[in-house]
Amino acid sequence: MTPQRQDGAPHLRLENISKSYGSVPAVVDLSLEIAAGEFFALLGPSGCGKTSLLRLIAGFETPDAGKIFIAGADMTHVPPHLRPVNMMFQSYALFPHMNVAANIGFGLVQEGVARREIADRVAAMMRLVKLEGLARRRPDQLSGGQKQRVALARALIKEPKVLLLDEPLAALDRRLREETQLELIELQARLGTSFLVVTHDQREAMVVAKRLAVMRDGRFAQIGTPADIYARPASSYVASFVGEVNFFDAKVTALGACMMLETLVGPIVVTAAIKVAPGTSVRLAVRPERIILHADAPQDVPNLFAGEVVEALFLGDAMVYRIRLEGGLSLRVSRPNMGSAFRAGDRLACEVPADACIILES
Amino acid sequence: MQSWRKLSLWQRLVIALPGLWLAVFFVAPFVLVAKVSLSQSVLGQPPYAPSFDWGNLSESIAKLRDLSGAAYAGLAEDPLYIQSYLDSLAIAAVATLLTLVIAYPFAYGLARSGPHLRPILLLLAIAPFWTSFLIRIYALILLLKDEGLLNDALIALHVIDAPLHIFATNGAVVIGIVYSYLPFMILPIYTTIEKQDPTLLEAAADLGASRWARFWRITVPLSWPGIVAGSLIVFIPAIGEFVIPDLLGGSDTLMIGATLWAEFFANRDWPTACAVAVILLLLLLVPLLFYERLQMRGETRRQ
Repeated sequence: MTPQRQDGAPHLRLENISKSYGSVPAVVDLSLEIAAGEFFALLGPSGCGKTSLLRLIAGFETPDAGKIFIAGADMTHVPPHLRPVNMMFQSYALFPHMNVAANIGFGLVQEGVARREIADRVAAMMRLVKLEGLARRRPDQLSGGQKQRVALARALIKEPKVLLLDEPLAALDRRLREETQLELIELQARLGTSFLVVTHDQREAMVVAKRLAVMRDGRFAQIGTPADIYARPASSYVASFVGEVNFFDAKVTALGACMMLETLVGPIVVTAAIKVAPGTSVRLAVRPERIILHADAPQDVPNLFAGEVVEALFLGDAMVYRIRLEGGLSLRVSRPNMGSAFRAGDRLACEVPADACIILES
Repeated sequence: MQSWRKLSLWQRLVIALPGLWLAVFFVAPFVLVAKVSLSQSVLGQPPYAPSFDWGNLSESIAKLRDLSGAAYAGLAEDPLYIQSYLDSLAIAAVATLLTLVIAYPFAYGLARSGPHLRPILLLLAIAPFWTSFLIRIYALILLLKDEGLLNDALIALHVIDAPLHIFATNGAVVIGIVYSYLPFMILPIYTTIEKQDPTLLEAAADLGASRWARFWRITVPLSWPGIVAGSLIVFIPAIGEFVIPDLLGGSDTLMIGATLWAEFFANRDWPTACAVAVILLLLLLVPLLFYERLQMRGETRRQ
């Protein structure tokens, strides 16, 4: 899928960026293009280099190699205060000696904008992020959610070409985080600014971003839309980092219209675009929600595996089962909660649809 | 705020101890000094009247009528005292400002230095304390006098032709105060800069602030409590400084500490000396109370 482009040229372009701290590589030969108005997420565990990449774009670090272009201009060696990007910090980094209005207006004061205009733009920005009436408050008099909004407003008021968000919602509790995710999406769509968000939360990345990059050890493991990455992960790492997944080690036995594989628990039929030569060992990945459970094994259905419920977890809207298949393999299956549920100890048949299997190199 | 009644015996004791300390070593001596300041100077031992006898209470109460504000009236009439106070304030103010100007870059460098350099710099800042204060002031005389090291060096370098008369001037007194009190200014400023969150500077840079703007709009305002504390710690004792003006000052140096000393030891005019001391204390207490109130206001605003 190609990103939507509003003015042709990408807003942010990274060319072969590398950065090491001492002998520890943080970012290794990364190239990336983000279009104007795109909401992009860098997703990865802590230490994968996603924050380093953000700091390189903001200008707090200089890359050892490679180039950074922002809105067409080479910004590789431009200091942070002259770059047309703004950052929202994970800790918010609100100025404790300034009130909310002064914090939000800080960037405009530095730009030398007239006092009246600053007041107007700060007031408008406070309305936009729903902070009305808090202009005179000090940061230490604000709740976590309010601080987050001040930080966001402060970074947005200079109308940056790209807004960088470092774990913007990590400090909020779950309910507020989910609300704020939706507000971020709405805000981004309204402003048309490119948003580049760094997060370790795969749900958050998938909810907010149009495209995302999964990072590992300073490299991109995969770049794509959330749906694309979820349905067609490029590696076991991506498959297990983005969502839950069951793995089967398998060997290809026959290739026809479908692919036949042999696993520990028996033969399995897979309809996959990738063709792998018979005899090759591969890894099959199946999402827990794609597996169908039958109390009584139906006739003439392929890929049925008998098993026993080991554990049944009640999540409210869904049930998550751990099922031990005959043959020793353990499966994680999640089913929407429709009233009736299996219990631990129940014997059942698991159907793995042929089109639910993702073939990964083993 | 918990009420006194709800506190355990131990908590009361802990709170009472500093109070007791203040009562014994500050309030009681101050009452004595205040009492003497209201007495009259007489020839004799002690050199003031009336003196109270705890054994004869009724007579002592009768003597209370002999107390008067004559010593204070004397202070107000003689321009020497007012000039002393004003000169003391001026010298202390100039010295405090200079100390701040010198200490701030040092404290800033200290706070921004790496983990290897910092302990060494910190040690250098407080190293002078390991030498006797008096010896250091005498050493300053050797440096500052007309044929001293400083003048010799400047003449040898052809910066000046004739020696600068620094020693025995108010300038020497200011130099002495700045030198002696510098660590007291450095340390509180250092701690306020050191504990600043470095991401605040990154945030300011991100929002378009240059290095200069970041310093003036983030670093300096956030170190304000350290600046105020350091300035008070230097300014207050500098007003009453006695040794430095005595050793480095000239004949025209008029500081209140020296005036007090002269009244007490040279003139044996204890009531006047005590009155000078009481006024000095009030002069010092007013800025202190002002500072306390400022801090209290900050605290309540935070809550």
